[in-house]
Amino acid sequence: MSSTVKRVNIGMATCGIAMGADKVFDIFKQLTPPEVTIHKVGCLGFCPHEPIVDVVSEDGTIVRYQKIDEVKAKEIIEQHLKNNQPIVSYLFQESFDILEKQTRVVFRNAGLIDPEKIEDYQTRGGYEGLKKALEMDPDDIINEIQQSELRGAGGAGFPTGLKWTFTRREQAKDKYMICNANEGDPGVYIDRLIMESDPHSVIEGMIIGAYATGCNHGVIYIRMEYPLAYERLNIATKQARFRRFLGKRILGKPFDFDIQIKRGAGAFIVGEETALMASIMGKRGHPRTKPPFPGQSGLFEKPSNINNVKTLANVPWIISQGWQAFHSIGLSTGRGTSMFCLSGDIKEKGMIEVPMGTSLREIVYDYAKGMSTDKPFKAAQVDGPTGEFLPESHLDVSVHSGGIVVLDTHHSMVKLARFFLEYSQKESCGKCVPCRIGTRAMLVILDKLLNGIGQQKDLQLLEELANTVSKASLCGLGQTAPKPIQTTLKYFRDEYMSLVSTNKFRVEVV
Amino acid sequence: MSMGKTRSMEINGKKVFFEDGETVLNVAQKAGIFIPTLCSRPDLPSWGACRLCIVEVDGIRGYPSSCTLPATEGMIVRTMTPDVQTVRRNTFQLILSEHPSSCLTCKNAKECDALRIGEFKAGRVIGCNTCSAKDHCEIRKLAEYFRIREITVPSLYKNLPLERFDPFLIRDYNLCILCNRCVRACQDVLGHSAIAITKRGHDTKIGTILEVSHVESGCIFCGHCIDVCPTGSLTARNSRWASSNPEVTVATSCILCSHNCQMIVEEKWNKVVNVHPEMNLSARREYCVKGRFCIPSLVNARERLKYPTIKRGDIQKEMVPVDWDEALDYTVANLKKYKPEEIVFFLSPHMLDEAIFVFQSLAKQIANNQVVYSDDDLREYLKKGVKAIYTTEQSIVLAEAPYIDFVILQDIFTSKYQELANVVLPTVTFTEETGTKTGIYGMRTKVNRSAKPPGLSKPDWVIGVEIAKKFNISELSYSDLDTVQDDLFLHGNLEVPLVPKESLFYRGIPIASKVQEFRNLIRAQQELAESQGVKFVAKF
Repeated sequence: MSSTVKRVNIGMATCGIAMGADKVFDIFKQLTPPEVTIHKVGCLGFCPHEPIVDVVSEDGTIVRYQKIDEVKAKEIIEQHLKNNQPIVSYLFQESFDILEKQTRVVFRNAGLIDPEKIEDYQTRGGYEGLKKALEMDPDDIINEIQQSELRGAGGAGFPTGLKWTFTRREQAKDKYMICNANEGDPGVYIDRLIMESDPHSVIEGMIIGAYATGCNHGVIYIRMEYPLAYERLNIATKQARFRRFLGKRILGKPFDFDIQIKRGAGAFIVGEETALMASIMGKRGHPRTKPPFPGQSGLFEKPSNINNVKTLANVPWIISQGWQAFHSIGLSTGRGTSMFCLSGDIKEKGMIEVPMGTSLREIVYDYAKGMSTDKPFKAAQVDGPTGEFLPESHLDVSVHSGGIVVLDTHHSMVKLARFFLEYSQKESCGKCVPCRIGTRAMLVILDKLLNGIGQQKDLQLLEELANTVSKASLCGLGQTAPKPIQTTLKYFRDEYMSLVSTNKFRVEVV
Repeated sequence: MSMGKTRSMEINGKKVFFEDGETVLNVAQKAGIFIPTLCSRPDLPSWGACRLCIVEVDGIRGYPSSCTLPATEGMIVRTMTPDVQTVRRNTFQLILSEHPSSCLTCKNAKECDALRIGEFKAGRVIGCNTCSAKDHCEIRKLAEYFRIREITVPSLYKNLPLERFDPFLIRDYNLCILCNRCVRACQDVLGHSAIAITKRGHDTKIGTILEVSHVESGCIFCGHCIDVCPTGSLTARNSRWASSNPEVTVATSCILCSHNCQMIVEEKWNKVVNVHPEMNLSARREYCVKGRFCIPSLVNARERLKYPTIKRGDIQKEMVPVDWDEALDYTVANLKKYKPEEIVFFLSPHMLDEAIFVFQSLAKQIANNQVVYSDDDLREYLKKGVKAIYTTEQSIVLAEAPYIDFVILQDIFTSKYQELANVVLPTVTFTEETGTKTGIYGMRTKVNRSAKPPGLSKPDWVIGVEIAKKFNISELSYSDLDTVQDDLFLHGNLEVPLVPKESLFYRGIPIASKVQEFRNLIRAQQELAESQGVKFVAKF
């Protein structure tokens, strides 16, 4: 017999709400006995199991239910909350094993705290990092970050501390600290999870970064498709402002900083830093060539520092726990953790956070519990639409934060490569020739192959085009857009070869 | 241009010098090293989109575009490595895959060009031979450099409809390579933002925001976009088929308003075929639609006066063409009937300085210095009992007061006012005469003759001098323009009223009556103002 129930946490991130958590929340709100408090919490990363309801007892033990609907909610209230009898058939106890296996730094509060209450964040050590940082010298903070070997989690993996020094050494009246929350990769919701479940960690990271780099303006650029995250960030900034973590003379120190939240207009390319800054300035989201780098001349031609949501969420933890704690996670190839959004033919889909250097094999077979179909593993698509397809022989490599789509043998690699190429092609900003025309030309050739009228020379042309586009494009999108084609051509060439038409006389009819 | 310290770098093993703030492309071009490029233009901010000017630089990953890369001390650049050349060729092939490229890759193109004289007018451009921009097309120049004979990448011709619905421009975005020069000229140089890049991916195209018409988007039809376009996507409706290979190119000034912008007139077949400003954007002022697009249609209008005519016959009065001698004799004989107080000169502010000076002097001698420059002033004189009017402008007052004894109309175009005049003297437009014109701030600009005057028409000042000769006025016995200008210089300021930029008239003639496109523009602006419920003000 467990102790009495104290609070109920209902997963109310976008994934939970999509599965009906708001209705479940209403039921609990109406029928729960008054001594039990109801809390909206974020996402634990088990999106397919939503709505998840945690029943927390007075001694801190958590009983977790999964896939709760209105009927089940009423049963839980009757049996568990009132009579203290957990309903075994609805339980989701295996989640604790999966959580225990993970190393949760960025997701430290996700799914445990109410994202709309700053008190919840503070009881779990929130804003302690900021208080500590404001006592430190800015150079010491940068030093701390540099020693922790924190790297940008947006994709390029540039050392964060080094990036901060660029902005720090510029002398200007106005400097900008920008948070890149334009998470555009299809099927990846890591930033959304952080902003919906733990918005204060991003804000705290930004304030510390601004203090270290000497920025006085902050902008969070959030994509339009994340309305809930936008709302929660707005609430969080208001609360932070109220508690004097933002605004003039933060915590009584001679340091002014405030954050504006800017919503995007629905473009993938704006995740590129120069395009993002163009978009904030009200221009069309076009990347530009570097130099000048944002550190020298960025937003409104002022020195600007731009970091990803995931990177910034690490910062308060590093400051409060010390760089050694962060440095001890991961391998020499990379410190800290990586976050993955798992999908495809695997048993456990959702989001996980694991130490850097965790191999793909571990992720697929340990964290995701293996293949969900009876077919064997064929490939994993990593790093979003402009990422790579890794075959079975590459299962032992470790990959960057981002999406992992695990594929079994019944998928056609050519079709999948075409899908991702089509996405990049559609999302190309249209500025430079190789990306705008080259990706389209590759798409036409792929269609030719898939329609059975491709020739051997088309395959060579495809390779040459991929080479041209990756070498000649202006920004990262174009440079990496051919990667799905290049990697599938490298590892699954036989699939392309099987599509090459043997009939020399068959011609394309337009 | 910032004058910094002279620094040095190395391009293709050659030591070159540069100053701070220059791009690698700049430095290379100054050193005589050719780097192909389509989107860059020295008078526009760098853009870096065509990716043809890529180079290899020691210490920089990948291939940066030289047009956006600032030159730094000790940089080592290679522009012609095999890999760079391959990537460039492939990129250029991609550009050609969207563009109608049959003539660009044809091995017989040279012979074909030599055989075909002039343009093949066509609704749609299907190759260089049917393109009106053939002679200044920058893709053609690069095609010669790359010598691509076969395009291996799939054809991606967009087959977009021709955009013909705005008054002055014809836009064929199938030819567009999205170099963004037009948008940069519009947004960055002029600050208008009438056009922008719209849509994304392969559908990206130049257009107006929200796809409104150009009249609605705030386009002032200054034509900068046409001047910077490296292809035939943007062409001027009135001159697209006539402007290639001009026989004569003359630098002159536009006198349609007192801003007197500098312009270059292209002449062919003894007619003005195209007018454009100085090609270097940084050297030009803002150009208006009147000067940019209206001048050829205005001066080439069919209804030009070609012969002097006088009204003859006692009962049935009709205008009879005569030679100059007879016309001027008749004029002078009639003017002599009136006392000086009874004659008034109406001088058009559009006349050149020399002509105004001659007629002012003439008025001093024969008309008691009675000179007016506007309809209202003319009405004042009519009230005072003036009996003879010498007008150089189609004045509405002539129609209001048909009782005037004697009217001399010195004009360019045929009109209903001819019937009201006793003598009509044909004169020339400002493109057909040489002289000077004083504009705003007292600036005097030069006007140069670029086309042949039609028929027997003569410049204003010549007519004035010839009339003076008939009157035996020795002070005005000028033999050539130089002597007039000498006296004009001694005389100083002429005190002629300025013509505002918004003026819709040229010598009393509504420009819209001669220029159909201008009429359409004014009508479109009127309709827009009506639909928005605001007062109509012509904007250009």
